[in-house]
Amino acid sequence: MSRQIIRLVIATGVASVATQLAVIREFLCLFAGNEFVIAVTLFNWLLLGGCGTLCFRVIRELKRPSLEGLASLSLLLCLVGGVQIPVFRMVYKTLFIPGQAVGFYPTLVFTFLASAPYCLLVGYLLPLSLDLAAGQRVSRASTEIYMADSLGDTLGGALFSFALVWLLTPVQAVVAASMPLILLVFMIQKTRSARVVLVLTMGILLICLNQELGTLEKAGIETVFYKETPYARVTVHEGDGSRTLFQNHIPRFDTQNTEAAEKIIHYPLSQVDAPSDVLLISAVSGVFKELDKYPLKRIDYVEIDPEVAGALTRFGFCKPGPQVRSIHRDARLWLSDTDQQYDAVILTLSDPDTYQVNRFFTREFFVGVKQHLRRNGVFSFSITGYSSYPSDALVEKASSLNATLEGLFERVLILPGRDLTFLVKKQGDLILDIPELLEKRGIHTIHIKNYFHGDITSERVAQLKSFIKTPGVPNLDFSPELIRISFFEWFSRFDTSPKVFGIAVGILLVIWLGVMNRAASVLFFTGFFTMGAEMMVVFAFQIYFGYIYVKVGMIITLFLAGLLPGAYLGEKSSLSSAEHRLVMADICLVVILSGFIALLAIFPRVVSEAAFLGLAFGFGFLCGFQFPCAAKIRQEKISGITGLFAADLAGAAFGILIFSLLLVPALGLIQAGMVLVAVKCAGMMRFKLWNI
Amino acid sequence: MEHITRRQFLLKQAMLVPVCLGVTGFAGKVSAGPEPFRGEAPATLWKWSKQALFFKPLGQKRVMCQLCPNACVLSPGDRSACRSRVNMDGVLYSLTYGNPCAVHVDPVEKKPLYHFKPGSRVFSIATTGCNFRCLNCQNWEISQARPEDVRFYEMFPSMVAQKADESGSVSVAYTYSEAITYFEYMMDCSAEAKAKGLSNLLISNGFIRREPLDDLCRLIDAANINLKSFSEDIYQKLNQGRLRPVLETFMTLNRKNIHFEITNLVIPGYTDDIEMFKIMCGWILDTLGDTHPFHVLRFFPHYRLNRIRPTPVRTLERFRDTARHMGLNYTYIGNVPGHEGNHTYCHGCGKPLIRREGYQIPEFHIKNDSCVFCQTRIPGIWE
Ligand SMILES: [Zn+2]
Repeated sequence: MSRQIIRLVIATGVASVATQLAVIREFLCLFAGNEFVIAVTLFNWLLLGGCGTLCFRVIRELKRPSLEGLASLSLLLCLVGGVQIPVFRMVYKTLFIPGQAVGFYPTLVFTFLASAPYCLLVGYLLPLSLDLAAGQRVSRASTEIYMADSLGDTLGGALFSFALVWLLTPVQAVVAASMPLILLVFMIQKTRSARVVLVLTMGILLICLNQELGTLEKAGIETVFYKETPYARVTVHEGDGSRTLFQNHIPRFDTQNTEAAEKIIHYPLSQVDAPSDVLLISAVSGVFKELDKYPLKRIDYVEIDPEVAGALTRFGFCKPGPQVRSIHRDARLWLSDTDQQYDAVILTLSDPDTYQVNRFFTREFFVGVKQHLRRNGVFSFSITGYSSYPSDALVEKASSLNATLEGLFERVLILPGRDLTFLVKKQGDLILDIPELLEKRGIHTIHIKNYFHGDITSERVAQLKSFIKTPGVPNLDFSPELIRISFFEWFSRFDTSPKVFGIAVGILLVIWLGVMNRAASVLFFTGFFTMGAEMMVVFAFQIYFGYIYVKVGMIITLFLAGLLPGAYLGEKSSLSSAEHRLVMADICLVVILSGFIALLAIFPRVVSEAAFLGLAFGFGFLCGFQFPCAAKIRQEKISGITGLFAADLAGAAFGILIFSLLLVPALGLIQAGMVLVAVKCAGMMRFKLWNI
Repeated sequence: MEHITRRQFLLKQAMLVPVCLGVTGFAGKVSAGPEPFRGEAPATLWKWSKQALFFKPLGQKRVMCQLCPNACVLSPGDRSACRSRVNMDGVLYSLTYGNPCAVHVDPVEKKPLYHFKPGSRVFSIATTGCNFRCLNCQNWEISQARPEDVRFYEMFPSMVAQKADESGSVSVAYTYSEAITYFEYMMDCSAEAKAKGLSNLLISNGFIRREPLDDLCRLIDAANINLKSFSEDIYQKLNQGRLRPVLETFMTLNRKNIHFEITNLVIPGYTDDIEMFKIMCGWILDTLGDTHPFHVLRFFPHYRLNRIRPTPVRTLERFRDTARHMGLNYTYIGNVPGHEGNHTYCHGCGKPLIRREGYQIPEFHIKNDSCVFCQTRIPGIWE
């Protein structure tokens, strides 16, 4: 029997991690696609998982667990997993005004309630398996279950990031990842009625698979392209003679938006006398047509997602000519590898309100751009601007970007408007009268020629300049000022404040800390610490090595993989008392992270890719190591063990939330890491002094 | 040791409930119109705050604002839904007087006004405040803000007129946010501007009560009123507003012979229904006549309505053709640079009278308010 349970736990791990990765991608499409939504969703999950685990303690008193019961619940898990994504989409459509961005609090409520069934179930299944496997040897069983769960999670994570996300749609991926579990249930359930239920479940899953695409349709327009790529959901819709490409449900390219292409190309290129080489980081519809108005030798066009680049050409958004070299890489990586010099670097990414995009608006990136600019080369980018009055947040953003550029470039010109365009030149003057520059060169435009002088008056330019605060706070890789501003701006856009949420989380944290026992508190702080450290590793990795989906997936997989040998060793080792081992592991965690922080702060260039991967594994290992030690202290009682699971999950929940939403935006990455170390030390002290 | 009783379980569950309920409270609110802000008046009035011209005491120091159809009922210390008016001890005050936060000189075509002194410059001002909550607001930074929370200029009405004059503008526009919400300031500025020989332009959603509008009509020379849709349901959904009062505003302006132009934003999935559009055109023709310029504008994803694609140009063309076919001769396409739907064609002879290239007017063939080719009178204020 215990073999079967272990298998079930592994299969549940595979299914649940893959499902949750698919769900988080779905949430990023339905709601704002920023890290706040990721953090809030993970917080909800971990918390709900903890609640599910606690629920088990109670329900166990009412009903004796059985293997058949476990199998039935596992099947229910597969069913909920498969059904939930189409259901989310339909409920979303009925709850919210179509086309409207949803604010923070509705996002919080929706993701919490939507995640509840699945997460409670997952949280409930873990201790149930443990209970069944336990018999007389609770502590060993708990470690075995913990290891099996970690193994399943690792496999599920790897399966999703290396295979499913590239090949399948979300519901397909979920169903595929659930197949091993369904198969196991089939082997366990021998009764006729149970098999009927199983067939019914399969039937419902098939209906979901069949209906999946229908739930993505937009009323009144035809979907001509749909592809889930590791970076986003990409769709192209067509209707009434125009096409629009959406990324994660946000319209990004429109075949009839000729105005954007004119601004993006001619604002910078008009400032260069004889441009020949241009670097284009992402694009807008019609850019190449505008670029063709200059006798260029080479256009390097970087678009990280080859599916987007492909769709842009295929559906007539852009027609790259023979001088265009398409590069499907992270643009930061491209710049650090190439020796190519450019006359213009043109960045057309979305707003820097995610860590992901913010990497292209930092001092470190601008330094890289400058190194690749010729003597009179120009660099330009824009962020969402204003019609008549720039909000305080926008002024702060502009001030920060101004401070980030100043000192690097001789001249900075900020053009007001619905897009705030930043033009900078390595050397020489920037001229505001762009229509005249174009006229002199005989370059014909529609929008710039006829609207520029009404929209960008010298009075408006001067007014904006007078708003810019000097000295502003520069935006740095490790100190993402723009993320901090965007966080508050996001709330103000929806006329709400993060205060209520902050207070609620604070109260919850205090309650949790209050009711926790001694061993659980170690795991709580470890959960908190490792989740924070994990985020830190991922953020830092992305800053250095770019957003490479597979590699970020690898980091997380390695972390999960580390749990396994860690737990094994923690169980086997009998060198010293469990308590002593627990403290030793804590010290190791603190020392490793401190070393990492020191390296980042002092010799950032030394840190290699392998070091990041090793680090992720190391954190996982120590985290896994601590679990059996804590289990031993807990006197090996089932109820105590469930408390440990819950503490670990809750710690992780608070860790992710506080680290990525509060510490990093407020303090910067390095300082936030230091706070993690301090919190872990405080947790350790609390543990040592518990009985005194 | 760790045995949990059923009672304890319920207790733990109960602890979680307030957390869940606390947050659901934010999602569930659906209201007919924007609500006043209870107890959110500032401790002291802004130095130039002015007693409101239109309000009604209700007893116990409560007042009802009589400016717009929201008709906010405010107790002392409350702030109106537009965020600009407060009840101070039983008297309604406007906080937006002499403190504009947006001041620009724009081409008149940008408003858009196509039949009012083409090519002229307009001194444009706005304070904070709006009586709607449009999901696609272009000026949400000020329309959904409180006057004390923004950077502003100190500009008394006399100074507005003087600055406008100095800037070479021929008119003053009350625009960007919602001009109705700074009614007293607009009235006084208009009087000053009029005295200096400048025109006054109202750019508005038209959500105003009859009495204040009558007063305003004595001072303004032209208006652009945004007709957001022809459905109460869409007005409620996208704007938290109501259609009926806006239609009444159109009728009043028409009766008072004020030159006004109508704008209609075509939002895919909401206001791109051709049948609704035909009803709208029919109403305009029957009630207001065929002399009012009509702008159908292209939508761009913006503010909270950022997940809808821009309006296809062909949709706009179909709308314009429909409107012209029905008899609205002066229907224009907006927000599409270089489109021929920007030009004015004589409804008598069909020849192009005004060629517009963005804000430039390379061709102009109207003399003495009439077509130079066939002498048909062209509605509008041309000199
Ligand atoms: Zn004529």
